Amino acid sequence: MTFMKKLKQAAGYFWAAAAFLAALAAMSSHEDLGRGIAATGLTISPVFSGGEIARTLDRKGYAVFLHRPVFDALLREKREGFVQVDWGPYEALPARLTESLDLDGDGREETVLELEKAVPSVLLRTADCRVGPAEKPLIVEKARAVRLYQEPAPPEGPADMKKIAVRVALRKNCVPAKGRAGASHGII
Amino acid sequence: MEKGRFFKYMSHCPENKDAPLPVKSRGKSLLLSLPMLAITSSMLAGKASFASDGATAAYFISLAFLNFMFYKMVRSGKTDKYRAIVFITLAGAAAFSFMSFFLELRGAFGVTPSEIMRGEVPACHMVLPMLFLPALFSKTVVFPGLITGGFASIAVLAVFWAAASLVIGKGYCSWFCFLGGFEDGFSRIFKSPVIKTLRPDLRLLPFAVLLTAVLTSAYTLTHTYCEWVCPYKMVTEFEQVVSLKLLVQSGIFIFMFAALVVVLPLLTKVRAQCAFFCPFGAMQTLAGRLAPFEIRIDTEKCSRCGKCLTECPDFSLDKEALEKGKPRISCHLCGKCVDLCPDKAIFFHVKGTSLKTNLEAQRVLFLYPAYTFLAAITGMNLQQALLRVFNFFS
Repeated sequence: MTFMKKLKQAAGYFWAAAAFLAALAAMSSHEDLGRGIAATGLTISPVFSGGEIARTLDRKGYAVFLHRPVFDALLREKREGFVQVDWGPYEALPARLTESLDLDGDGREETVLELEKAVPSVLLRTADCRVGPAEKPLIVEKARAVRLYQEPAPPEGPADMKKIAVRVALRKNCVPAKGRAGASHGII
Repeated sequence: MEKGRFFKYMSHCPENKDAPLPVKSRGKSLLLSLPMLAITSSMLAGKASFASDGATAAYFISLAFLNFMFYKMVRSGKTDKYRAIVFITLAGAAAFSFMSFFLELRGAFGVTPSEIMRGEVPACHMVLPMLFLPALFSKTVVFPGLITGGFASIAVLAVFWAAASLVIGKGYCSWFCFLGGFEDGFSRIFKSPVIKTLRPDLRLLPFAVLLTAVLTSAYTLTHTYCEWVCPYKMVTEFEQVVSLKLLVQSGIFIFMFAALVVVLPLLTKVRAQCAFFCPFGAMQTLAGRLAPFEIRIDTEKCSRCGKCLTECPDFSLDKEALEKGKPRISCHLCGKCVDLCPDKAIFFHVKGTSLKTNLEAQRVLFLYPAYTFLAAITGMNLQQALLRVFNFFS
């Protein structure tokens, strides 16, 4: 057997033995190795999480949480996205809510959302053609537009807060169509 | 062009020409099984609570089952025969423990919109190919799961995948995937296939599915394959049907499961989802190239009977492969051809080593890491499933 063949053989057996050790290492320390991956700063996509909370509006006994507008795409931003608005804690919410909101953060309250606590639907009124149902009344699918969810409790903090979450379709810009420039509204 | 895998090499397989199997003595087999006993007892203990008689019984039953199978594998010289028993058990136990866990937790199998928003959906390895591009470019994970902690987090799954890829490569699909056992089971029901001719270019289909899934996921920033076509949603979990879109998706899941996991494996004896559709398997074909183990064929010993071609469950053997002395890159290293070859011309091999040196030692060398993965995932799921059964009856 030539030297090279012997070397290849030794390397093969070494790699096979190392493979067994690697399997054991993965089994015994997968949690630590997993934390290493998490430390790279990866987060769950805002398409699922709703994005970070940008502003919190205090109301009597409850709060409105406005998330950042989500236009996220792989490389650049999409023209159409959404804004998530949460109300909570659920128990403190009045039976009917009417909120004037600045969804895109330009300092102008362009949208009115009317919400009934018991009914999972929202009435949206806006004069801004970038917001909500304009050309397409349901850009965000109906099932996901209004959702009740329980926010996980922080490690040291108050108990879980049950919220109502609404996602409103948002466009980066648009030209109002003739005859549709006024208030558009619909059940999201 | 040669079509299908059932070409006639020789008119008959030399059924009575079986070379003796490398059966070991009881003592030597026990000795070789001891390391696995140590590994599994410690691994399973980490997942067991021992808080009740049921939990203790689940631990010991799982431990005994896994180690008996490993002992038989070592002693008999048969790999696939015992691997398949564990692998099929794994699929059943995983589906049962998973579905019963969620039934208990939320009173339904379906994932609720609330869980999606909170990112509490357990991750599955099928989603991994779709996560890489968005993670690279936008530092986000396009799956509503937990990065760490909780039940089946994404980071832990990624660690297992990376380790398994380095260690057993494409063997992941027959030694670690908790879903493949369904097809494996169905593909063994009939003795011979009903559909005898399959187009060879079907082997390219998983790569097309992979490319489509990766690109559409990157474009939409969602896990498109899982959302629309994954057949295994039927035995894990799917979104609660609260819209027409979700109703259509659920219909597709049922159809895909019936077609690719039940009917086609029954009719072709091929693990159809794995061989023709799985994007994860296609990725694994590429990712597992560094692994030290492979299947080789001794072309001098091979009598060209073609038995392995009709029995290969992942459609990785054909005339060309036999002439080349190695199966196609899609080979799962399940070992079925090794068990079945009447000439004992097919064997597990450590890359770089001579094709003539102690082949049985090379098989055992492969079995340790491969079975460690199989025992880890099976042990965890089997313990859970048994515990749920015991709790139900008590």
